[in-house]
Amino acid sequence: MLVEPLGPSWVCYSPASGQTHLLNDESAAVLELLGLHDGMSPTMICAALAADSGAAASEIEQVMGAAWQLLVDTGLIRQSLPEITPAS
Amino acid sequence: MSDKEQSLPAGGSARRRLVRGAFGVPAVLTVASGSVAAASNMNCIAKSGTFPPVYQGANPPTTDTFIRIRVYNDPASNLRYVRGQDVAAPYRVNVDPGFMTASQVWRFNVNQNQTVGSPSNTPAASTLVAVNRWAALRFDTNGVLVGVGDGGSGGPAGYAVTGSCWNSFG
Repeated sequence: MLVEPLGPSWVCYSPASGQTHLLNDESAAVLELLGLHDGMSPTMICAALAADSGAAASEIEQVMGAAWQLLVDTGLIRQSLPEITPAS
Repeated sequence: MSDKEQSLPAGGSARRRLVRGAFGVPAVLTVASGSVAAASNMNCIAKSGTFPPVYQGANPPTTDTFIRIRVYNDPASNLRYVRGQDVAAPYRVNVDPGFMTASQVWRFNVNQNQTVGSPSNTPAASTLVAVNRWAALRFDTNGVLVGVGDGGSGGPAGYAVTGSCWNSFG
């Protein structure tokens, strides 16, 4: 996935979907975090974004609540299901 | 959560551009090329099937923008016709050789929504009397004007259109 700045926004090309997206700083920041640390939980991402932006983590979690599905639906991120250990 | 592949912004850091003390709603706008819209219209064409019946009424509804012409009655024979002179010039840019000229008329069966036979110079267009029926012009996928109403099994294949889009009927 290629993410490049484009003026005040970001342009993102996904080879998987063949689609090009225009992102704002917040969406690009999420992708940037996942590019650095794959497999982060939503809580970890929000905490990192809180540290970057200075906003409260709780506020970011609230904002991101509805945004996760958007990012998943557009194919920019995917939800990793936790491994389940079979009961012995 | 994970990204699908490597997603580190190559030209800078989005995280550094976050406004201090505020975090806006993430936004994603998918960019589409014009070819996508064209493909959508082609899907519209592909789904086209039968044609609507001939419109009956004093005037076409204002919300309906089908490219069509009026149907006329020949008092001498009591047969219905459409007139070449009613086809506006912009629609004559690409015309099938079998389509009527501006001076010709074409017998039209309003029950089957189809033209009958070939365009003719008789009866004279000026002797025809307008009736409250309207027939859609038919264009092929190359935008060539090929007929009026339904092409049936023998006529040139084509589709009814509005001023902005090919139409699907069925």
